[in-house]
Amino acid sequence: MIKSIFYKEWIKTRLCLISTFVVLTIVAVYCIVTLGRVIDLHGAAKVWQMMILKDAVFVTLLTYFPLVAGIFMAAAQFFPEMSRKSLKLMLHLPVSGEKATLSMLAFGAVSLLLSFLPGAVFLYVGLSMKIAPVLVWRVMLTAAVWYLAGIAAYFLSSFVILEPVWKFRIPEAIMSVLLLRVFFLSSSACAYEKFIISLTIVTISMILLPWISVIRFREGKQ
Amino acid sequence: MSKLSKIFLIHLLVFLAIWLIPWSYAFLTSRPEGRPFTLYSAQLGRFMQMEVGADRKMYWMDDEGVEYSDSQGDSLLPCFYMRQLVGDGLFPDSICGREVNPAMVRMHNFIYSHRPMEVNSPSSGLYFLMETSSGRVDLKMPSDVCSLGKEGMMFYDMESNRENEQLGKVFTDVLNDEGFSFPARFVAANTTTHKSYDNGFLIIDSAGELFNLRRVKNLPSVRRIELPDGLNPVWAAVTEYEDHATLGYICSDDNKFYVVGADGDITLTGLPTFNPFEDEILLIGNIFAHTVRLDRNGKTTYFALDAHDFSLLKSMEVECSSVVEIPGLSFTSPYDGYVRPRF
Repeated sequence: MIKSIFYKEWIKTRLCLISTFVVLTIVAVYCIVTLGRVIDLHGAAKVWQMMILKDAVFVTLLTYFPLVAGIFMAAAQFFPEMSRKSLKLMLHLPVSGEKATLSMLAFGAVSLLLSFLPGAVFLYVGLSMKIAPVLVWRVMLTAAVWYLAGIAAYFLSSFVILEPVWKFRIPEAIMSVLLLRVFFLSSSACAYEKFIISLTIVTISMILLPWISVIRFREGKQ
Repeated sequence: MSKLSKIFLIHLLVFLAIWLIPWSYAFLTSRPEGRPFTLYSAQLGRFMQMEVGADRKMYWMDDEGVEYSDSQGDSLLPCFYMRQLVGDGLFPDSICGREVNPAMVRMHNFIYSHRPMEVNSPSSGLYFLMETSSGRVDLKMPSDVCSLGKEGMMFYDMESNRENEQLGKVFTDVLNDEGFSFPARFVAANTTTHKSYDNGFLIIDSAGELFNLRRVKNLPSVRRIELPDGLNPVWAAVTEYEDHATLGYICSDDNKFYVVGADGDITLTGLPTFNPFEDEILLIGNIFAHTVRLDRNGKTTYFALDAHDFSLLKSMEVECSSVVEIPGLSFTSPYDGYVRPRF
């Protein structure tokens, strides 16, 4: 049954996932090519100086792409469920509602992560060829927060979309925006170094939120 | 799972409330508050503050409430306003009984500032060790960066992105010969080409010893600086002032502020306490006295130090308007560059 749910989710979200994979990889390629051009124009020393002395990361173009991808993924996955009322059908499957919802959310989060992965790997390899490992680590740690924001955006958007009552969607959306703000408080390299583990735990815990909306939906709240 | 979900949601809402309510209150009620520019006048033996009158005209007021006009202020702070006095043809032949000339005053004038953010921010651990004897008048940034890790000193060539093992070995061996214990606990450098010479690095090693490392003709020049008994340095700063009199500043674990002379002598200053990880400091120095502005937890204190022995001449605490703050959660701080929750 879980396999069938995964297949159903893949059918719904494949276009979104492939687009995410393509766009994020293109952005990563663009960042590396731009970095290469800056090095050609000003010399590698200038880039290193900017990274060491000014905390520049040179991949800031990437900042909001994972966030947008997370929102689109939630929309692709749960808008059809709500508009066609197919969520009601899913809750009547011979598998518990909790298990089915968690499977859908886990599929979304993991597939989103996998679509981020090629871009991140390209970024890592591209940077490793141009700058010292310690600087690559700083850039990747900075970008990791943006990827994490993509996952948080996915869970929070799912929470809002699955909410059956419109007037509740607004405070939930406001709450989601405020929570997502935490991921973008600084763009300096390694600013989240001491917080990223806690932030990851909180992000993973956000998988619990859409279940509240599903309970309300199951209770027939309109 | 529904109970767990609701508990988590409540936690998130509480977290947002304790973050955003104090922030919103502070955002709506805070007003920008300027500190009047303050300098110590060696002639008067008093602090002088620049004030703006009701007619928007600038005047000076000393710490005893005596007011001075703009031009009187220039004459009472001749080192700081040297260019104005020279332009007006009013620069004196002697100040405080000492014969002076503009070149001498210019050579001894300096400004140094330090913010806790500089030492509390995430660091790459990579530093630029400049060539001190390039034979050129202008300094140049090096083509490599270095780090002082557990294994020793490592250099990375920036163009090729490769480690220069040979250079690293030369520097590591010389540092080891001088008794340096890797890794470095603190590295201070003034990485800029906008200075007339380079003093290299002031390094506190893992054993708490202080070293001065310079790059001379691409070879290491290491000097161990003897510290007074019981001095455990936790912070250092390199100075490159025109008078070449100092090598830098250091701060001990008991928050004492010391000046490191060019010949390696250590002098305890009259500054009562200075915590480089929490306090902001601004030094405006001249041939007679150094004005020190120390900002700690929103309180500003001015100190005047004698320029020769760094003894305390005078201090003055400035009243700050009381700002009502609601305790709450914040993620950023003016004291460090990290994003993390803090109450």
